[in-house]
Amino acid sequence: MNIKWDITYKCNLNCKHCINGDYLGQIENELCFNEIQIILRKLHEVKVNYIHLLGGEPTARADIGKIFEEFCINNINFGFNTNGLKLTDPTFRRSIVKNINLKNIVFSLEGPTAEINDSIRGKKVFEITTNNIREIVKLKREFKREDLVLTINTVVNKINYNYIIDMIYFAKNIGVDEMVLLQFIQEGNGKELDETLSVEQEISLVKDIAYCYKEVKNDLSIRPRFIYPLAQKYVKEMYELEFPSTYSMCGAGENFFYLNNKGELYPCDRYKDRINLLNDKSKIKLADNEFWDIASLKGYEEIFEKSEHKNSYLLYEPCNNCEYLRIECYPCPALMPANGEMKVRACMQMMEELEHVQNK
Amino acid sequence: MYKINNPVRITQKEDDVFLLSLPKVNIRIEVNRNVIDFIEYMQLKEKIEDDVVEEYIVKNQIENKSDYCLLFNQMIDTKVVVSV
Repeated sequence: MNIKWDITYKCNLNCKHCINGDYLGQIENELCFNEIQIILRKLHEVKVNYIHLLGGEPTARADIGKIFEEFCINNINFGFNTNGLKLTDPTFRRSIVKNINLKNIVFSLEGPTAEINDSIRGKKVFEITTNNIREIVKLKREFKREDLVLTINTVVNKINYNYIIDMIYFAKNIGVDEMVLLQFIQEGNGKELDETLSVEQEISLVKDIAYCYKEVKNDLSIRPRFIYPLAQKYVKEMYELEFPSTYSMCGAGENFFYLNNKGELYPCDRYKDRINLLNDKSKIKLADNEFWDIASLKGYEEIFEKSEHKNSYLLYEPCNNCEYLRIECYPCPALMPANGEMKVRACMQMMEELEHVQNK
Repeated sequence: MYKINNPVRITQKEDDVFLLSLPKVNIRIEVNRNVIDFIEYMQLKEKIEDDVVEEYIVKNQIENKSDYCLLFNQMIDTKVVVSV
């Protein structure tokens, strides 16, 4: 079982497209260290395999070093997302890379140059972040931490769209293990921005990634999560090329849960609003309640029922006619509109082109 | 006495195929409507007594008692129900 945990809404940046922008700075009643200790003990008892810390900026917590040690004490594997700015202190850097339960550091970077990255994330960020990534890569090699995956996350949008391939080569050359390309979501700080790629841009990017993938795949794992798994078949049949897996599983409320900075347990961060209907949030605070008692509350079963029900995707186009559905692809049930109809436009376009080629 | 090892997740996959998941004990299995009905019956009970099978088959006029005894024992073995 995996947990995603927004451990703080403190942040030393205010990025243009931050999906949690509405929450940043809301740190009243945030968990104290003792409560985090209690929660980690409980997560150990229910045999959680992995916890990923997000926020906010996890390293903006003054006690983050102590929190990382608690993962070791409870023998729980973990990872965290970071803008990398707080990783300048060599002693702190060494202590985290030596932590054997740390399995993943995800650096947020929006472009291969200061001009692109800093236009989204703020002035001088690129220089500090990339310097600290280089230092962490060196330490990983020094401590022979092959099991520690270093990742760069990039949110694909209209500002950096033309630089994504450069970004992939940048990630390879700086020495990280993995490049994750995320979809821009018009929420939080990004809700007023019109930065979502068009279908044509998405498919053009799929093609460009396919061409560079063969050159980088031995050194760099790519996870193009801005597109659905049908892209693999599309690339194979249209260009006879390989495309990295975009496997998208759900598991929310079953083998995946979300914790916020107050220690409230939800089936998923995208499902918080449904559970907010509960009048009494004291019932979902993990420090004060048993994990499985919370997970048994009404509402926590809803995502499972929706994603696995025989009729769930009947009105999803072209999912209802896609071989990847429920094999490698679980379109997010939280995004399901009330009338059940949904058009995944990039997949519709890819399927149309595939049918056109097959009919020739 | 027994109790269902909550949480229980149930959803319909086909006309008479249901996906049953008990994340606490890492069980994910496809079962038919009869199994779901029996579980839902037990879920509504505050306490599940040792004679729950007897009680259920009488109430629902079911003839194949031995099948339900077997099912209940399998549920104990797989920790779908646990003693309290």
